[in-house]
Amino acid sequence: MDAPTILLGMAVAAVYVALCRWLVKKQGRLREITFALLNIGIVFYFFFWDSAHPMVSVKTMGVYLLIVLGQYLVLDHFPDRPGWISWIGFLLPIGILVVFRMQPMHSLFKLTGLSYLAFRTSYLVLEVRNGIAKKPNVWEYFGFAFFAPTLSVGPISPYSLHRQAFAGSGRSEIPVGRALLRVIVGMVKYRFLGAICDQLTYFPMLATGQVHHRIDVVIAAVAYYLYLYCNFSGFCDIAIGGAGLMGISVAENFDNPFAARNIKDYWNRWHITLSHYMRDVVFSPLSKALVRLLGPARINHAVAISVFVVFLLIGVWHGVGWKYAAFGMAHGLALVVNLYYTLMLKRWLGKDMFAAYNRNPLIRAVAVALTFSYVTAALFIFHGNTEVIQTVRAIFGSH
Amino acid sequence: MRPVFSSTRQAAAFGALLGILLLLPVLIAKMGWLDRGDAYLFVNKNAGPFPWIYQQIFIETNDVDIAFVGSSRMMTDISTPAVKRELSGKLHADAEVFTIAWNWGGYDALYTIARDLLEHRRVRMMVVCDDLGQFPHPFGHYWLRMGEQSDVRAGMPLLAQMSCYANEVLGAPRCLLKLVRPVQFDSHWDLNPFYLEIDGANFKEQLGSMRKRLGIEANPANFIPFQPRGLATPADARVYSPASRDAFVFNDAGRDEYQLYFARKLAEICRQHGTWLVALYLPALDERNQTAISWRAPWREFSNGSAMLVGIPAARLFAGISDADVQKLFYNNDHMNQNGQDYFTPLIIPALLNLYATSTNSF
Repeated sequence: MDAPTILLGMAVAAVYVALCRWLVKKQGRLREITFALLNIGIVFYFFFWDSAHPMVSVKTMGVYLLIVLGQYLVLDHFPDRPGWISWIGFLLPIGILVVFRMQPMHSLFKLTGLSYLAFRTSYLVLEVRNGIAKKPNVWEYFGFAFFAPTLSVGPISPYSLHRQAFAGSGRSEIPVGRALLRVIVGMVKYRFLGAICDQLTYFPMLATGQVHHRIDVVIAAVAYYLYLYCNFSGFCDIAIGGAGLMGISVAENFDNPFAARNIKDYWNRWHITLSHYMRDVVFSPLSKALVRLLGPARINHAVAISVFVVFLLIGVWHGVGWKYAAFGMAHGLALVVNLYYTLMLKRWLGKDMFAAYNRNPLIRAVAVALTFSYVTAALFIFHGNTEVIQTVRAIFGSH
Repeated sequence: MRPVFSSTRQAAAFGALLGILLLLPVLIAKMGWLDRGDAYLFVNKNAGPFPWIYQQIFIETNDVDIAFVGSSRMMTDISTPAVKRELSGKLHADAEVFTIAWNWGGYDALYTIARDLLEHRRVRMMVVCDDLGQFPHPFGHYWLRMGEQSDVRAGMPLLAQMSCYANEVLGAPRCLLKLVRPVQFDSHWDLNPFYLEIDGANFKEQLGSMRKRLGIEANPANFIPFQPRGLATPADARVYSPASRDAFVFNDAGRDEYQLYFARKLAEICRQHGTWLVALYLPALDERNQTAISWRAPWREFSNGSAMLVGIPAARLFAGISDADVQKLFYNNDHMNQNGQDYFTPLIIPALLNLYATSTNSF
């Protein structure tokens, strides 16, 4: 991209943020309509507009708008119905996601952010059903669905949190300086630190046709983990900070995952909103159903099975292919092991000793190192590049 | 929204990290433990056959008769073994001819790598092509290192110097690998699947060129072996002179001050090393009806007459070949495939060898 295009993009983004900030302080239906149209316009401009193929751009955006409209109509009509029919509103966005992830739809329509939009709008249905949020009107729904900062990579921020900004005098102000610093730090992480880490990840490091040493694999593995963190959390910082500049709160998605002392702790620090979504949507109902099926005496096994299923789904959500399923299973297995290990430890040590165990700094350091190593190793499965795998095999095979 | 830093200490640590990374090129340059050749051994295969380039620059030592240097078009459009055969026949001795080329154009990359070559080997004639590209080169972070070729930066505008420094920052952490393990050259790199052609040919056999058995849209399924019966002959080659001026057109399309800066520096360094610089016109598919040789950089102006321009006007090169058949000579708009290489090379070799003879008085 040349400098004029970048400058124009920045100017458009600045005007968008300023307008949204002004709008959230207003009241009335016109605010909702304007906010929705503004976000739809920005999404179209940044994510879909291609001057070389204008009709394709318009068609794709049109399909997206129709999908969201369809979701809204179902939400509007079905949530209060008895029985399973009320779940149609929840399942529809997920079903649409599955359909559009598969060929040939995936080739025909590249709907940026459909995954995160499906999660956010399906979760919205639960919030409405559970009385956490009031059912939105169509403009509020579109304004939330197409909320530009969180469209492409999340976070999967709840509708109830999103609406707090529109509450009038009841909302809490987000300091502009804090939000701006968040954006700046996010850009540094995303564009600078991520780019540096990327130089040392698997493919750039190992695909040289030169002599490599085992330490190169270790460096590439760690760099890949750091790269993903800088890239993903940096982008989330930009999204959260950008929304903050408008006065809109977005859920946090990362909380220093490198400090995690076990895999369970890790998933409370990495992609937090996905963990919370899967906990509420899959884990809770599944574990309850399994407890009913297996009996309360087998609650731990019910939890273990539920956890494994959740992470298998998380793996498959990342992409189609064995490596994603294997990645999910690796984490699911680690969580199950952690569950039983913790239970065994509690039983063995007793309450006080277990608390002391958790407070011990040396044990904590070892636990953090092991968790870091395991996550790094599991990401090798996630990366799964064939050329890299062959190179790594050759490196370890030749020594 | 929580603050981005949970404490002042965390903010300071973040700032310190940024400071170290931004100053890393300066620190590494001051340490002075880097060998220039190391830069080539870290280059990813997507950038090109850099083990081959490393070998030609830092390992081989004999004098070079003709070096073809430049971007991927130099790799695909000329059959280097054919040039070597013809020149060896003229010299009645084994000529040293090779191609060192990489992906993506740019005079900054051309200058940097050509300079490394000229500082390590004596080159009689260097052949380049019109190599405008993005500045800095997308892979510049591999070979731009602080303290190396730093004299060339002195004359650059501040923004360009900053761009170069940004690339040095990006590549600096990779340089630290030398602290933890030796940097070694694999002499059997050519057997690595990364560097084998679709039909098993490799860069060593092809002396750095590539024979692309690809049809249009770079699809191997679209490749059809084809020998066109065109009307072009070696006599259609034109070398720039006052008499042949009409066969050349210089235009400002894509003119970039940074690119021209490095192009001038390239001409300068060739003069300093007594290397005859030849700029070869490689036609693109969409130029096939052009009657003049189109050159984007005003080569003649800034080379002070010491560089020779040579080429065959595209309309003449493809005369007598239908549009559909011309398509069979390329695998995309800019690169010839094996058919195109086999057709173009014998037509341009005589002109190149005449220039070689003129520059060296060898036959």
